[in-house]
Amino acid sequence: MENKFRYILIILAVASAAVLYFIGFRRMKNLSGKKRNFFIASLLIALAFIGCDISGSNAKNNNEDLVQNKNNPGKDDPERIKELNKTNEWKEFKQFWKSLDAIEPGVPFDSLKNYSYMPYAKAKSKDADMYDLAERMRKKIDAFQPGLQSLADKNLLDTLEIKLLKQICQSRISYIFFGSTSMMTRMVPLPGLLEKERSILVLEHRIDLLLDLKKKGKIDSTELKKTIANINIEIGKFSVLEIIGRNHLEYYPYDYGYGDFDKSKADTISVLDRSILNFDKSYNEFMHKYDAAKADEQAKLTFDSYIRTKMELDIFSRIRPQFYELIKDLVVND
Amino acid sequence: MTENYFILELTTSCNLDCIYCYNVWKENEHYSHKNPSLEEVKKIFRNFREDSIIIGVTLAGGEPLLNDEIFDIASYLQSLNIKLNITTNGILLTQEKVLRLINCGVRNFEVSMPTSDSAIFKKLCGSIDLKKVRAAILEIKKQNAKLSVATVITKINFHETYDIIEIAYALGADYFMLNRFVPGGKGKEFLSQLKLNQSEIIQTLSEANKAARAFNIPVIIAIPVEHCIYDTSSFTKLNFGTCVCGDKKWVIDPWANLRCCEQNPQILGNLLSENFTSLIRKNEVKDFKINNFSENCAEQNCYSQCGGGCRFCRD
Repeated sequence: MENKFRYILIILAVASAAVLYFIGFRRMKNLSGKKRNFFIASLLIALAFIGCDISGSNAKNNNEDLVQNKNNPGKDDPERIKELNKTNEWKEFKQFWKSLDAIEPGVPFDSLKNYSYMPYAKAKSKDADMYDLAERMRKKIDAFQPGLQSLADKNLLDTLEIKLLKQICQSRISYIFFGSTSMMTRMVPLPGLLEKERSILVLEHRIDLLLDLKKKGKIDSTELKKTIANINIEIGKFSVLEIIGRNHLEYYPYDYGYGDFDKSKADTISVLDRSILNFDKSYNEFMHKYDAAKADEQAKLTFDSYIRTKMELDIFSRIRPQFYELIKDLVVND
Repeated sequence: MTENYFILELTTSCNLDCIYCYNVWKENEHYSHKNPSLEEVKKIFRNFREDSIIIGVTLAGGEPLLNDEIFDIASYLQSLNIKLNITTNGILLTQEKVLRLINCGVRNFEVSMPTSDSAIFKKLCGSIDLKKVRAAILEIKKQNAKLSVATVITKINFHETYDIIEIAYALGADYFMLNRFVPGGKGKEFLSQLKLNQSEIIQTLSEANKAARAFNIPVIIAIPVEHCIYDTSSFTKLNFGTCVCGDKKWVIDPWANLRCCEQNPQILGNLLSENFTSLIRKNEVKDFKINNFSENCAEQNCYSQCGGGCRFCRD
């Protein structure tokens, strides 16, 4: 369908050029210079049409893998969760997730509150066992990749879901074992980065608190199941910031607030919303200037990165409800 | 043109019977039962918009969901591009109603949850429906709407301040509104059981500060405390509000009467027959503002921080 549209566009552009040429030839035959300009201008219009489309095709080619990987899980969700839970790959991953839930809160080293940070080397010398355990758990996440991919091949998972699940687990391990590790130095971390880290902190905090309240009988099982919506708010925030942060180089706009970092102070501006707005603005500006014909290698890579981010954000917004169901299954179901 | 924020009392009815209730009709028998209609609300706001910028309206009551026309009223206010909030006890909120309210433009839900303990809920509100309040909170968060949980702190529940904030956070509250008990309405009948003394207020603030730190949730002290009486500097995690009653915030009761404050029974006039600007220029408003500026305010120069505190809390 898109190809048809492209050809129609090219034919229209060429036809317009031809019509303009003949009109120009008849009406301005004594003004050969103007006539040529008229024709050349028309030709340029046609080329511009084609050029726009060529860049679009490149983007599609460059991101073909992403498009192919984007298969909304075909089955409806309760059925998908049921099917997933029949597989050993998902059961093992769920068991791993639950082992992270079960780690009781200690006193994490919080670099952002202490204006300091703990390099891994120092952490290793301080508590070698803890460091080794964290590393072993990290490696385990990578080991899940083939199994999870096989579920994607069966259309039970989306590749973006796998990426995000792995990244969420990596970040949870970082926080559980080492606390907040963002460096607070002369160059403060990006607001989006801090917010992403904070969402994992809140996620861990919420899981620990809910399990504790359940144990003490302060909330019942029904309430525990329903609180998953709150956990998914953090999951959603993390996922979007992860997609933007991974592919898109974010700068330090002056209007950025760090308000969300200290949530105890009421702040009406969400770092997440501003990150999305900032990305959209930056994307539009880049696309407006981008000229595929003149682009150097660096510009092409940046172009790919923008397209990829935009597509992943689009995919995430479509698969978000299904992804939340996955998280619900991981946290609430046995 | 002034910017104003309104509390729109949509009904005198309520499905709870809270002993701390400040509604002015609870202490004045000449008030009859009233639910304003959509047409009446339209008439009020038609007059309004000519002489005032409306930055927001909070649908309140009584229990505002007991007004059958609440969705139409909300839709109408949304069509005027007014930011809408609702304060409710949550008991009547179902998933369908939450969605309808969101579709009608309600952006912030404030749910009153005075305790985490069913027995205390029965004592304070005369109801056994605390579970329904909690279910409503979860329903609102399921739709990812902004949610404040509000608690009126009294002598009966101040000791569980930390626990209430903990539960509110666990259930998903984005903000916690801590309102110390203000004598008014039905609450006047139970003063000795409800009114906090200074040391209890300090203990409450301290617990709230601890919870705000532990859960990283904004705790807003909505009934302003006097900065010359309470050293607020040590409660670094709390957001202290100021009194804007009779300045930016106004109350419209179910009969369309305009008042300076929810707790203030004094009626400035009726908005169906009188103009808003002329009402707020009345001497009663000037007197209302002046009577909150004490000698302390002048001496300690902290009036800008608390607006003189809440005048209805003074002995």
